[in-house]
Amino acid sequence: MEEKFSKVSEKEITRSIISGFAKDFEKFVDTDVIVVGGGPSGLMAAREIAMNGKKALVIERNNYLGGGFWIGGYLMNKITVRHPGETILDELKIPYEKSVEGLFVTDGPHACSKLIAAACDAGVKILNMTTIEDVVLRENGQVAGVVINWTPVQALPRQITCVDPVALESKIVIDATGHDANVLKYLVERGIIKIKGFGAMWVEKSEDMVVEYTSEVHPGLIVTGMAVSTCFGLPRMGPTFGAMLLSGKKAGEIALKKLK
Amino acid sequence: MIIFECTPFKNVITKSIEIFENWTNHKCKLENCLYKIKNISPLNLAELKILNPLKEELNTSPLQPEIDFEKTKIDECKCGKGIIYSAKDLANILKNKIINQIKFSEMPIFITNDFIAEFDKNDRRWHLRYAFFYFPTIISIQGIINAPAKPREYYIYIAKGIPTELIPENLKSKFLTETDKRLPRVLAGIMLQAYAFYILKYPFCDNKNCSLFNAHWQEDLLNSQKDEPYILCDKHNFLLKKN
Repeated sequence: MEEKFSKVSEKEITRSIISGFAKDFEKFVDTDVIVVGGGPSGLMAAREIAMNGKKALVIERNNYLGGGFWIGGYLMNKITVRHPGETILDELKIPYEKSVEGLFVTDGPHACSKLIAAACDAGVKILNMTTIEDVVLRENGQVAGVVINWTPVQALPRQITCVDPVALESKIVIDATGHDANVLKYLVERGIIKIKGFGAMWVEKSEDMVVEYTSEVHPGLIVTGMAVSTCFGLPRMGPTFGAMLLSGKKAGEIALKKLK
Repeated sequence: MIIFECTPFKNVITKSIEIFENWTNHKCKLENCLYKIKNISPLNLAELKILNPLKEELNTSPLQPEIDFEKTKIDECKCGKGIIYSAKDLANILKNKIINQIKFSEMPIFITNDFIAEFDKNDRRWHLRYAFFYFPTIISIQGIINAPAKPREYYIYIAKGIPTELIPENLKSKFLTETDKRLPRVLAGIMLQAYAFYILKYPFCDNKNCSLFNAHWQEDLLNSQKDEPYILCDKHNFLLKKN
């Protein structure tokens, strides 16, 4: 049988993986913005930054990107977006239908894959299967990067995975880690900042507040998405995503303003 | 009565004042938002934020974005976004701002779109309120819409993840919304409660058909805030046009 694929040996494939990864990794060891969390708000923030010519790196602890954006409420893969969230769907060319006045519905897999592609097309780089272990702080308390390690290192017993982490530097860090607020918690542990924890679910009011409160909470640290709720004690949201997209976009805009 | 209005609800408030004045012959003086004319401090407002419905403690160490939000809220009339404030502490701040200029007999009422709540020492949780009767009395538009509970079916729909927009129309008629045509009449009835508070020192009546009824359910609120069978019960009817 005639072979259609080029003849390449195993060692060439391995070398390509190593050199390709090392090239990108070296380039992003020092970057403009590190976005921790690759859900809808994190991807939107990173895309906004990269589209405007700045370097944005997304750190995602899972193998997959998109967070909860693949699937809506109760394991049903329809995503709902309340007005004005559909403006982002238009921007990303994601098809959707109007359900009732002010409410729009789209397919989770289609919307999520489009968002990931839009971020990558804009120039965002992704480090998946990577978990943050700490933040980099400068003398004046400015957040100046994150300390990372491979996700599997944390998943295994310490006696067989005693692997030191490495640090990445950036001008700004965005916490897009959802309710866990994983970046903020390192500042809380040091007594640098006090956060409030999220409240009970209140769909009607929570979306506005998440966007409204998306901000720089500490020098060098911006919060977006559900991390905003945890930071400011806002109500939880239901299975609706407009605020995640708009909060991410706003976080990106704040970062760009800071970088000027 | 001095009414400090909530600008985005000016039309509703104007209609309510017309209804109230027609009932009582008592003239109301309309003033601008109390937050604005008394330069209420954004820091003080941020400190009154309720963080957890089950914990009495307030937001003692507000973050800068929270203070910035309060400033923007006042400047741009963005009340009612979802932050809930301690009614008693808010009323005390407002009282200190007006006490040297306004008399108790002038019956000041601040109508706001902010959410207000009171902490109940018995069940150890915060409860949303549509009004807090004090000097000045605070009436919350969002409180009128959200504090008295909606029908149980409504919460079952919400718990299932069904958006408010998709809730059946017959159920929607059983609770108020911001654009509801019944809102001016309901607000006028709550102004009557404030009027009763200033005259009688107590705003409520146990009669479910009296406009002074302290409703905890939307259906009870809508039932008590209508003109039939009467606006006020026999016991409180003297407040209408005779005072």
